[in-house]
Amino acid sequence: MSAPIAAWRRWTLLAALFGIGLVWVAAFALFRAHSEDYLAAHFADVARDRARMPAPALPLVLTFGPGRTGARLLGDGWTEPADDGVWSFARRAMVYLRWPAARGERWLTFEGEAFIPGRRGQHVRLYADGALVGEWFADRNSTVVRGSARLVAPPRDGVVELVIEVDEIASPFSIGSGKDTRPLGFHLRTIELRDLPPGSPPPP
Amino acid sequence: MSPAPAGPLDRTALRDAAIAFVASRALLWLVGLLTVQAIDPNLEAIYGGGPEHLFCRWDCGWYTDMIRDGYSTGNNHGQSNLAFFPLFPLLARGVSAITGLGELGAGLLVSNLCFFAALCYVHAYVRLLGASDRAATLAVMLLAFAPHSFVFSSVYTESTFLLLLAAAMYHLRREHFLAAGLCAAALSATRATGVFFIVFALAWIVRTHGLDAVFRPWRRPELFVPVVLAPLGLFAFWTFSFEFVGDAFAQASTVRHGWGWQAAPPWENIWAHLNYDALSRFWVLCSLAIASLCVLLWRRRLWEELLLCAAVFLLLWSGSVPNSLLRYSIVLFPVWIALAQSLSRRPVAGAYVLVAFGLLDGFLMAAWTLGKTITI
Repeated sequence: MSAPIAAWRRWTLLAALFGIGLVWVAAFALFRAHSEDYLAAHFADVARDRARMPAPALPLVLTFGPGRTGARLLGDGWTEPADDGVWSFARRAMVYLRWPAARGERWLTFEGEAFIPGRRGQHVRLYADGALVGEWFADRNSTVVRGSARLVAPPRDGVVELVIEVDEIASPFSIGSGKDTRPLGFHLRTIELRDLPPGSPPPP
Repeated sequence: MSPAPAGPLDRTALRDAAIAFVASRALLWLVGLLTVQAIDPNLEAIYGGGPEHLFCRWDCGWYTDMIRDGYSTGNNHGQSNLAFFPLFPLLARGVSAITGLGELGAGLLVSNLCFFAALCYVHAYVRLLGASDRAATLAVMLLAFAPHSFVFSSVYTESTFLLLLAAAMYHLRREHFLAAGLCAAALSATRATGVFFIVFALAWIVRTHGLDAVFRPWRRPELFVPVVLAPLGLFAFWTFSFEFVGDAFAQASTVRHGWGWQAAPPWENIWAHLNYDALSRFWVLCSLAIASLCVLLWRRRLWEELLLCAAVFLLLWSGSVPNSLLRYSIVLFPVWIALAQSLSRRPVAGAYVLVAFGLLDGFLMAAWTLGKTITI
């Protein structure tokens, strides 16, 4: 066993160790408060840049299969596009669109399928630049979601961030309905943008 | 005054480590060479000719790129080299600069030197625990021939991690607190699980000096030097990541985005892996088999080692991706020590276990040479 050290050295060492410990705590707090998922930010930046195209003529239909135009506008939260659409793997998944030029009202219609992990069903919410613009419900009897919302407030930079949010995500494998181990939320197939006269009913 | 325990530079440790190292590496290299020559000569065109290329598969490419170019902000569908901790590539880069070796040669040199040194430390650690020379010899042999042990000679972090873990634990038990702390700091810059050394350190403090040492740290503050220094490597990496990409936890971000790593309760993941496919079942069964050896740690009352291994296994099993569970498990050298102590008086059983290890290691080396996913 090592020899005991002098009292002043013990207290000095203790103070130094305590100080280092405080540094760890402060550094961790700083990192937690100021760190941003750099890949999510990167995917968003890339999608935003791609969305800064000339304002599309309406009506416009975006599809999200591999190589499709819509697939280039996907931000964070999506798996690789496959088949006729793309699955979200996060509760919140982003898509970036150029604010469309229109004389009337801008209506957005999206269609896809919600993954239902439990018996209760799923709420699917659509946000445009942080504002909730619609909420729909899907359950095991009706997994397809087709929803329409009016885009009201133009974004500052001409690109609107859409967020598709679900209540929960789970993998088909975890609930015994397949081999897919990816956590899944919503399978996005199409987004349609329309220019409708003011006061028109929502598109079907 | 009792004689100082034999250290890692003791003649017996060096001799046994050298024999285990040379014997195991030579056999693995021979298996790899035979695989190329007799099974698939095209492998040389794919992976490169020369004996050094036999030990470069899978993540080796990431590390050689890092040794040459350092970290980059680029990513491939979310996969980036920020997933890999910095110490090993830094060491290899330094060796490359000093020796003039290429990135592959430098990485292999660092790995093999670290592995040899790790075997010396493990040998010394066994004797520090009061076990026999025979147990020490058997422990290094088990480690050298453990299934998947070829990663200790690859451009991977396993051997560096093993060396630093063994050194940190050895020096802590010898009450060389600063040395233990510096090794622990380097350990947390090598792999994500390195910071779990704190579990071992705290358990050792409580067991050796009682809870009083924890509640009255002013009496023996030097005991906590390794505990406080251990996170240094991790925080250094976090600081670098924060400065580099604005995300201190970039390592976690990229493994989540790029490799699909998600956290879930260990029992859920184990059940899922056991029921998914043959490869997942193989990996998780191997890690469960190694974890089951922790019972031997329990029987020998090596509580500190048991807690360390349990904490690391729980973290490993919390990941949704079962790949590499075997190679993550074999670095937990205390389980091999406990196995060696149990087998040291049963030479026939010990020989059988070594032969079984060698066969499985050889099979996996062949699979590794062929680039099969089972060795990812």
